Amino acid sequence: MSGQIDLEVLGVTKSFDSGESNLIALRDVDFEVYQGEFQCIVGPSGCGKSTLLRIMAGLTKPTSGLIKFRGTEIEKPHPKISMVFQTFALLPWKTVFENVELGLKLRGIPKLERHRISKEHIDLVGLKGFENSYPKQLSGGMRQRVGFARALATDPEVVLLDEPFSALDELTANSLRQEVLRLWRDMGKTFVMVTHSISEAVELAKRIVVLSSRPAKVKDIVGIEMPWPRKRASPDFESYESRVFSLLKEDLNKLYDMENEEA
Amino acid sequence: MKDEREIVSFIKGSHAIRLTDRRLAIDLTKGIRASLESLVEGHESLRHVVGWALRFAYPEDIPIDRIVEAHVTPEGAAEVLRKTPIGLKRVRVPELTGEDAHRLVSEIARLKRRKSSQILHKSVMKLLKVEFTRNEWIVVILGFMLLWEAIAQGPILPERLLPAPSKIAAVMFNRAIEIIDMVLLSYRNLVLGIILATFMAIPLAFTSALKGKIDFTLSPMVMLLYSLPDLALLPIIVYWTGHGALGAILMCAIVSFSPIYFTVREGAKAIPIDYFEAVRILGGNRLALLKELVFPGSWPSIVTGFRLAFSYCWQIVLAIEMIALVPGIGLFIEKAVMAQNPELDTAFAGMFAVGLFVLLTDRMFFLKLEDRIGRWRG
Repeated sequence: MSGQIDLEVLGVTKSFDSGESNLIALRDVDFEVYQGEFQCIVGPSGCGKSTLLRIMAGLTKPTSGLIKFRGTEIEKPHPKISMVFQTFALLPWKTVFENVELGLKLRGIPKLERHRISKEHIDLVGLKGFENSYPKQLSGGMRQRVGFARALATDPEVVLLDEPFSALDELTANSLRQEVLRLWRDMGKTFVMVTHSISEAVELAKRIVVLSSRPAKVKDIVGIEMPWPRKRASPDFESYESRVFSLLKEDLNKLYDMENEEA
Repeated sequence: MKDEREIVSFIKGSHAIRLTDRRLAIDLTKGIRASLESLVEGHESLRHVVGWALRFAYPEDIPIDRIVEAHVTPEGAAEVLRKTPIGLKRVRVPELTGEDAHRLVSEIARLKRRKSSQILHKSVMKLLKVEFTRNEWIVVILGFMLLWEAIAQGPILPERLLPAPSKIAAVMFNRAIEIIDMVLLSYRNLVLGIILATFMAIPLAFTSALKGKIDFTLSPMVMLLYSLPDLALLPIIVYWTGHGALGAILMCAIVSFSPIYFTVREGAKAIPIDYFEAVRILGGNRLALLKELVFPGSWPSIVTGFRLAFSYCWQIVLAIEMIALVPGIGLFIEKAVMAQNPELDTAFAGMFAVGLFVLLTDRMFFLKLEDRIGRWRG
C-alpha cells in the first residue's frame, strides 16, 4: 500500500475508570488510513471499535497515544472529518433540509450557497422531494441517506462510518451499501467504517483492520485484492471471509477460555 | 367546464370538513385516499389528477403520498398550489383530455353512490358523534347552571348566600372592563414572576443536565425549595416587600422555579448523546450546541414546565393579593365578599373571569405550541 497518509492512529490506549475497576478498552492501537481508501475496522463485539472511531473523530480523548490527520495531531473534531452514525443521529426537530444544512450553517457559509450545496447533496442521495419532511416521516433507509447527505455536505476528506447499516433491514442495507460504494468511488474521499459484519467488510473494504478482543490491539491488516462490485458467492470472496473469520475466531476462543477460567 | 367543477366540489367538500375538525379530517383523508387509490387503478391520467388534487386539498397532511410520489413532482404540485388561490371556484386540470375527464367524473359519481357513500356515512356518523359529545358537554353545563339558577331563585337558600348564574352573568357583563383590567393586572404579576423564574431556572437546569457534578450539588437544594409549603412563605414575603405588586411577582417566581427547573432538566438530560456527537462533529461549539441542540431538544419540556408554572401561579397570585391587599382580581373578589353588604355575585363573576381567561390562554398559547411540537415529535 502506498500513497499519502490521511489518518495515523499512534499507540492509542483507552481505559475507562468506573470506580473500583479500571477497564482497558484499547491498548497500543497502531495503524494508518491512506488517502482515498475504503478501510473497515472489524473486531469482536464489545472490543471498543466504536470508541476507537470516536477517538479518530476527535470526539473522545485517548488515555494515551494520539491521532494525526495529515501530520497534525487532532484533539477535537476536525472540519475535514465527518461521521455517519448507527442511530442516524438526525435532529428530529429539523427537516431533512435543515439537518443536511446544519454543518454548513455552523461553518458560517452564506445562506444562498448553503441552500445550493444542501439541495445538491439531498439529490445525490436520492431524496429529492423530501426536503421538508421531518425524520419521523421517513423510513430507516431514507433517514440514513439523510445521514450520508449531512456527512458529505461539508465536503470532508475523511468520512467515518459507525456501523451505518446495522439498524437497517438486510434488503435496505444492501441497496444502501451499493450506493455508498458508488459515492466513495465517485467522490474520491477516504472512508473508514466500523462494522461487526465480516462479509460487509470484505464486500466494501480495500483493507480490513482486524482488532483483537478486549483490550483491543491490531491483530492483522488484511488487504482485499478484488475489483468492485464484489460478488459474495465467489470463491475469492469466501476465502477472504474465512481468513478474517479465523483471525477473529482465535480471539473468541481465547475470550471463552478466559471466561471459563474465571468461572 | 362542468367536469372540472365536479372534481373541485368533491375535493372542496372534504376540505370543508377538514376545517371543522383536524383529526376528523385526517381520518377522512385516509378513507378518501383508500377509495381514490382503488378508483384510479389502471387509469394513469386519473392518478395524476387525483394526485395533485389531494395535494391541493391537503398540502400538509399528505407529505409523502403514493399517488403524489408516483405521478406529480413536488415542483408540479407547488406550481399548482401557487396558481390556485384557496377558495377559487374554478381550477384548471392540467393534461386531462376530454375523455379522461369524462371518465373521472363518472367514476367519481359512481364512487359517491357506492364506496364513498359508506365512507361518507362513516364520517358523517363520526361528525355527528363529535357534535353529539359536544352537545352533551353543553347540556351538562347548561343543566348545572339551570339547577343552580333554580336553587338560587328558589326558597331553599337565601339570595345573599348563593347568587343566581343570571345575576353573575349580568355582573360580568356590566363590570366587564373593570374585571378584565383586574385579571390583566394579576396576569401581569404572574407573567413577570414566571419570566424572572425562567431566567434563573432554565440556565441552571441546562447546566445541571449537562454537568453531573453541578447536578449533584444543586438539585438537592432545589428539591428542598420545592418541598417547602409555598403558602407558608406568603406572610414572610409580605413582611419583606410590603403591600405591593413586588411580593406577588416574587412569590410567583419562587413557586414556578422548581417545576420549570425539574422539567427542563429532565428534558435536556433525555437528549441522546449521539445528537451531541453529531452536532460537535459538524463543527458546533458550545454556543451552537446550546442553540441548535439543547434548547430545541428540551423545548417540549420547557412548554410543559411553563404550563405547570402557570397553573401553580394562578393559585398563588390570588392568595397573595387577598393576604397582602395587592391590587388584582384576587383582591377584587376579596373586597366583594368583605364589603358591608357582601356581593357574592361579583365574587363569582371574578372567579369565572379567571377561569375563562386561563382556559383561553391555554387554548391559544399552549395548545398551539404543542401542536407545533407534534409535527416533529414521533
